[in-house]
Amino acid sequence: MSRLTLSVKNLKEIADLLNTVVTEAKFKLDQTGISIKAVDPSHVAMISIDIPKELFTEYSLEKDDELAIDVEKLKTTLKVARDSDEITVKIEKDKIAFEIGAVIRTMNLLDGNAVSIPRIPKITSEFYVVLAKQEFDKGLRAAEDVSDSIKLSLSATEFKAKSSSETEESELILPKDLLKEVSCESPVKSSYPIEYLIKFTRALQSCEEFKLSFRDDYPLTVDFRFGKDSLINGAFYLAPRMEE
Amino acid sequence: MGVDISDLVFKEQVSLKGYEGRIMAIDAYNIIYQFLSSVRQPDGTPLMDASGRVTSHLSGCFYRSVNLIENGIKPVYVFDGKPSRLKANTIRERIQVKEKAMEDLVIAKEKGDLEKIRSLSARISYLTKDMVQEVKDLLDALGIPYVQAPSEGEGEASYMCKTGLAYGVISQDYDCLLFGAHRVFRNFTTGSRRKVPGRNIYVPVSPEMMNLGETLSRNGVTQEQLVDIGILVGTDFNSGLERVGAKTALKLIKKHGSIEEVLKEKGQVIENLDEIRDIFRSPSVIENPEIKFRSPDSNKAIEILCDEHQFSRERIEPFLLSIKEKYSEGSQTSLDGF
Repeated sequence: MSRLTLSVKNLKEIADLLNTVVTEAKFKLDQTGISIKAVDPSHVAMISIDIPKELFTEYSLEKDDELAIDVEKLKTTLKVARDSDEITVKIEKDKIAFEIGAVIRTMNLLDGNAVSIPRIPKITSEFYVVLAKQEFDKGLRAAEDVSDSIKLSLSATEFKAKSSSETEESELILPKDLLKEVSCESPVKSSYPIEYLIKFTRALQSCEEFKLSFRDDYPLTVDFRFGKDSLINGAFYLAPRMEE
Repeated sequence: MGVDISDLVFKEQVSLKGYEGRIMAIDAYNIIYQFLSSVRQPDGTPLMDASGRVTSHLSGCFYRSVNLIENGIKPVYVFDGKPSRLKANTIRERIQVKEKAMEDLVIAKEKGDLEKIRSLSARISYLTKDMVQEVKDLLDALGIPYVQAPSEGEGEASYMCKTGLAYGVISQDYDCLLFGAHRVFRNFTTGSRRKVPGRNIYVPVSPEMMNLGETLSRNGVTQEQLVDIGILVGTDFNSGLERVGAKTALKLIKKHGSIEEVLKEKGQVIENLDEIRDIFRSPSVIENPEIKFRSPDSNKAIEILCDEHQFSRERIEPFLLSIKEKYSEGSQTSLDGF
């Protein structure tokens, strides 16, 4: 039997993040920690999360394992817990049990063959910006009811996020001094579906800054860290929306 | 019409939903003829406006294009140019079929044979220059691009697919495979059911994709050999050998390697062989056709459909709104391409 103990708050956030793209996901466990990759059914957005074993107060693994988990059930289970609680996860054969204080919730693992691990797209961009998540959130919220897509543009001197419809427009402009870091030799721009970004940023609550990398009409990569001591490492990939 | 190599072609059932953001080259004449014969009233007469002008081509073009666009597909119509001189026989035969159908129709009408009237009427489809122009004007209004091929539309559409300008070709015929299109989509512009010819029953029709690569590898032939098989069976440019269907032609080509050897063996001749091969292997095409999707001009579309041809405004308007929204969305790509 394997036993893992971690903070409820961290596990909640992991489940929320996964749930922005999938309802079921495969958790890969080995001696270094847990990694999860999930892509939404239309293959527009993907999320990858690496949880090092240092995040856990107990990490005792019987063997390397792949667990297919119903993420929505996990979320429901976590509702009975307080953020400050710890949760112990026990894995035995095809069952998984969650112990939260005096409550023990057991469920069957899903059929591993039915949940696949997606391939991470080969995406590289040397154009990136590191900024406060809070600032980006404001831009997204302002744009939300203007259009269903948002155009990000980056130059050496500023980052912009703009949405427009026939009658309305919303634009977030962050000059260089409001950005933590910029790397951009020549200006780049690309549009993305706003709904995915909003769901993702809402789920990612304990993160203060993240790195956005993209280039012209190219997938966006958001690199982020969260959880206790920012130990959890993640990336969110989003396919671009081509404009005529 | 077209080459019948159905038995050799690898087909798979697909759904219109799986091609979001893909450009599809539409074999325009093929599809418009299909509209003309299928978009009809219950008694077999084509749809007509108040002054008796046929509107089946406009109705088909409008509703089917909207359907593609709503599924995220980006259609580009490709029109035939000047037909090859070798097509003269095929064209003459088509005219003869229509003339015969017209004669029979007169008899059927005298007898009051409704089923016969309907089936004969469907065979009599004329696509005039004016009708082609009307379709082009409608496409312009809908913001859908079209390409005028120098000669065969299928050749141009297949070229666009081969070179990656388009993801696939939409055509009901197999000819595009001979022209080298990697993927040919059938039943993308039809309704969800089709009448069985000569009988009063309907069967469901589902979209399918014909895959050139799979077709070649499963039959163990090259693209050049597939063209030779087509020529043996008969194309729009030659009548083929007697009693040679697709399976026999495959056997012959595999046994003898090329059409020349097959003909030598059989002591037969196919006239203009090199010229026919050339049409399929290197059709005359426009190499860089301009493909630009524009925002639909609703007023213009309403003018053509409703003012000119009495389509119902209430029916047309919601569709125009829907493709306008789709256009402004741009097109969502997926991570699969990266």
